[in-house]
Amino acid sequence: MDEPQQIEAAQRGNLGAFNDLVGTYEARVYNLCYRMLGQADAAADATQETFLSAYQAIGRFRGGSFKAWLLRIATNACYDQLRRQQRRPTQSLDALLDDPDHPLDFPSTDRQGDPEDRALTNELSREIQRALAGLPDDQRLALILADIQGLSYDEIAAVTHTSLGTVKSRISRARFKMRDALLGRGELFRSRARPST
Amino acid sequence: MLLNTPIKLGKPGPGDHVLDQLAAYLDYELPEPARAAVREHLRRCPQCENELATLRAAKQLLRDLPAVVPTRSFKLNPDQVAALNARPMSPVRAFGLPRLALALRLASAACCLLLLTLIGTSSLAESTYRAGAPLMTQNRAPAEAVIPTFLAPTAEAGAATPTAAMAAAMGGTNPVYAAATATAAPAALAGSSAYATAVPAAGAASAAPPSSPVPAADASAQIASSAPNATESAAQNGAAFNGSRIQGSTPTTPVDALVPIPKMPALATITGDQARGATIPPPVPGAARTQQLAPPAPAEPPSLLPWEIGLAAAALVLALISIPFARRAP
Repeated sequence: MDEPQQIEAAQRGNLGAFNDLVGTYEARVYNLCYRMLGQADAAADATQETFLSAYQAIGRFRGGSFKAWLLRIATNACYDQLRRQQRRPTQSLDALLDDPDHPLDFPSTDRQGDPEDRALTNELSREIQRALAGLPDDQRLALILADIQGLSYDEIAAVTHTSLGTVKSRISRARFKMRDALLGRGELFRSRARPST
Repeated sequence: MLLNTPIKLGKPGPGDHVLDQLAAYLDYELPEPARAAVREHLRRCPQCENELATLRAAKQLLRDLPAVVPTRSFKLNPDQVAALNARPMSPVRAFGLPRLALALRLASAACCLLLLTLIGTSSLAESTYRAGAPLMTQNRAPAEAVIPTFLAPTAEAGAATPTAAMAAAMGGTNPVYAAATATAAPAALAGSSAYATAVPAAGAASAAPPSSPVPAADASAQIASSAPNATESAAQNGAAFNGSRIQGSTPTTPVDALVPIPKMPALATITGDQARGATIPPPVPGAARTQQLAPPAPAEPPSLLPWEIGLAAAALVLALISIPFARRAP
């Protein structure tokens, strides 16, 4: 069953077909939520809420990009979580990133590589996550969708319900801020930032 | 390096840096002419080239970021679906209108604004009605102001047109006055049906000009008071056709504030025989119509209309509906 058929079946109430869609998109949605929220538990809650809301609303999906529609719901769930976090401030992001009970899980090939490289990658990932957390929410979302999720500007505009110019401006500002934040943190970034000849 | 240079938004000039274009350039999101311009600039600007390199590195770091593996599956089970069915869905998302609450509130505010405007307009109209009626009489054009005085007796006599009666009264001594009256008479007649419903006139003396909210008898009294040597004649004239209503009126309009009214013989002396004796053109068809004017009902000050009440109710209902939507909105 391809995606349109899965969507159609899910719209008729077929839970199995909907769960096939969940299997296709859960990693993508979870990653978006994790990068937006910076906490594994909050990301899991937002992801679960995304699919519950999607199941409720799938009867009103009228075609177009299912990915953009789903990421739009995920974005709303993330904003809900962020509002809850603002109401109930718990741990700082730095504390969470350094928490040994919540290690970042990287399923990349680095896991099988040199332990020193893995440590370096983990450190760099934490730095990136800190830099992301320092961005305004709308800029962070645009940058994650562009650079981590790999969406085009048009798709980002559809997900965020904004104009193309707004997307362009947000990404530009976010990328400069990210660059500046990373420049101040690591020689690893500096080594990668040398102009290509 | 321009590492801490603030981003400059807007179209770059020939010598300007292209910092605000670099991110879109990097993402291949610039149209070809703009992309070519940026490429050309980068060729001769090492500073922007360096900026581009650092931005590219930052982007690459994000792209290379390893994906985070979810610690559990998010597939739904039947229990979750059952609980989901019991859970009321957020109406905002249910209707696919994420800003429905805001839209309802705006609609309610618009209704309130419209309602206030209408009430304000009504109040203004009411104050105009109370204070502006004498002023309207004062500012009236000469022919308009005078014609009713002559129309009434003429119509009552039933033998001559208003123009002819006035001409007889004037005795041909004031051609300007006669001409003005002659041109204004048809206009007054043409509008008679319109003002018949709005002017509280008294009987056949209701020869006030169109759109005048003043009772015709009162208007006649005011006009009469403004004309030298005409006060008594006008009062008598009105009394002849309108009973005793005018006799008790007190003229208050200053003479110099009104249009000049020429001397004329007392209208009370104009009789139907005199009118018939004058050389007059055939009767104007509107003369009989003037006589048939129904006594207009007294105009009442504006009050709240049903649709104003409806607007208020709509504003209230919209505001009430928006409350649960706003509560459940994310």
